[in-house]
Amino acid sequence: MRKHIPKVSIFESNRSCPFKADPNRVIDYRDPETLKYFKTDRGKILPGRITGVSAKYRRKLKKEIKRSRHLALMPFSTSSLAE
Amino acid sequence: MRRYESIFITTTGAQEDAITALVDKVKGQIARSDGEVIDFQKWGDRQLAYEIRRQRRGRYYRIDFVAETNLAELVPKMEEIYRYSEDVIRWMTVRTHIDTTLEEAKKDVEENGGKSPFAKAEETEKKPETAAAESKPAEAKAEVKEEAKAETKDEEKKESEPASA
Repeated sequence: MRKHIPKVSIFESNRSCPFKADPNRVIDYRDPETLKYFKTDRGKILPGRITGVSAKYRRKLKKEIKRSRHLALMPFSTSSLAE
Repeated sequence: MRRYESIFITTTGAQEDAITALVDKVKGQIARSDGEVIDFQKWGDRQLAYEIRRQRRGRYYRIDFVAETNLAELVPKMEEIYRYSEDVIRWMTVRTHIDTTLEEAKKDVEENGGKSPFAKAEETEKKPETAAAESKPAEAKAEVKEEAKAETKDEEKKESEPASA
């Protein structure tokens, strides 16, 4: 018989979605300063269970980050930056 | 009317008149589609997040325009101009509103300015250095937030992103 695995991961944060809380907060690909909080130091996009962002805004966030990357306002990966 | 914004990046070594000639061609294409350019901005130079065509820095420009007819032709024609230019290293044209009027768009530009989003980054960099220049970037920051807020209220965004050569 399969062990009962709890649905909620112990690593999951309980933060509420910052965009639901404040409707004035905008997600925009032209604004890497606010977007940078949603990626790792390596440049990877953070998953929702870490950021606490709701699905709807997470989708928009991903889209805007990818656009921002295309315009070289945000990196794809920090290992690709030669120093 | 549909509203678009087209952002393109040139090399920092690009000649000013070459770029104006290019922009005039693009504006001509927009006019051919019964469109109108409602805003044109030069955001200035910035460090790129990664190398593009061996360049570490780029010069950003933004065209804000509305258009109605011949839309299937318009954006590809614009991109053709970007593609053939030797100075343009990256471009992205995005639809920001699907149902708006020329007056609404113009009004939006007037109210929300659309300053360079780099003003934010500059603000954090310049803070330890100059305190006097603080007021201007702070204003620009507020304006950028407002403009971005207005644009995120729409339902759809469509983009055409060709890969850079």
